[in-house]
Amino acid sequence: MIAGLATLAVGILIGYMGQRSKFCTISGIRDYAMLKDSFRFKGLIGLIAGGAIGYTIFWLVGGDIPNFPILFDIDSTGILIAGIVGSIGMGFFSVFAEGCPFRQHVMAAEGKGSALLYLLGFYLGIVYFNMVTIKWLGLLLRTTG
Amino acid sequence: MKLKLGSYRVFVVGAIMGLSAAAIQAYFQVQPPEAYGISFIGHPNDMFSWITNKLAGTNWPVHDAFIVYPVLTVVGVLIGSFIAASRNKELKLQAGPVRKKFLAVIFGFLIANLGLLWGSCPIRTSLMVGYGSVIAVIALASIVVGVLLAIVYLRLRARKGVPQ
Repeated sequence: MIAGLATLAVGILIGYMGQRSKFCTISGIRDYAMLKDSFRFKGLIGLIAGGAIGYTIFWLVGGDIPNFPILFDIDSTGILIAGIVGSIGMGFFSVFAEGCPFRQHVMAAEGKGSALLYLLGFYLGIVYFNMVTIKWLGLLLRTTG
Repeated sequence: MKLKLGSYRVFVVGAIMGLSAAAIQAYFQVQPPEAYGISFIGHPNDMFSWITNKLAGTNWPVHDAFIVYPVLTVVGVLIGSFIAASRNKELKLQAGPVRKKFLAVIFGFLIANLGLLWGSCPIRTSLMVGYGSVIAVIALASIVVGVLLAIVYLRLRARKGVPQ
């Protein structure tokens, strides 16, 4: 219960701030690579820095931060392959979709039609993944070990 | 609430997101897995799978932290950004950045499947980098490669004079 409520509270906070700041990880990388515009790229840097500082501090003061730092958590070649393929594809198509999944949720709440359609496809994609893709992923993981 | 931090506004927002994700993992049981405080691939999947399991009796996998009660990050973000947009008079139905409607649906579909292959969105990947994960560094580099490939593709199309 507490985890669900915590995610709701954090969701409202980051939704509000994300809308006001136009935070987007993919647009940050794209703008920096294409136009040398670092405005949104700073968000990605801030996210990594905030996460690293937060995990370190909470770990030091006895918060529940297990296995920190994870370091070499690669336990399967298949997971690595799936991770690389999935990440390249996500980065590639997110440029054409004009934003990362977080930004699309924010734009949908602003009333952007294409973001609402993106979310329709996104949740259909989740259904497809759980019914079809996950079986192929399981086969890949069994094959590659 | 006005954010008057100049060009570092987005940096501060990112840092607050990172700290919030760390805090709810450390003190509000938002784990396992590690660095799962914010994820816009994992949390929508967990929420949607939780609802489907309850309503349709399916057995789709849900992360341990959200088996009993659903994860509500997506609901929170929709509420938060709706409030922000309406308070600042930016709330209105409009076309959005992707011109062809069917392409927006297809992009969403593809990104959900590709993201779930890796299991994380760029935000959680960055959080995992902050957690010290080597595989997350490789994944973040792969996301950058994907973005760069898209930029190359866009430039080639622009050179050929094909409309975007």
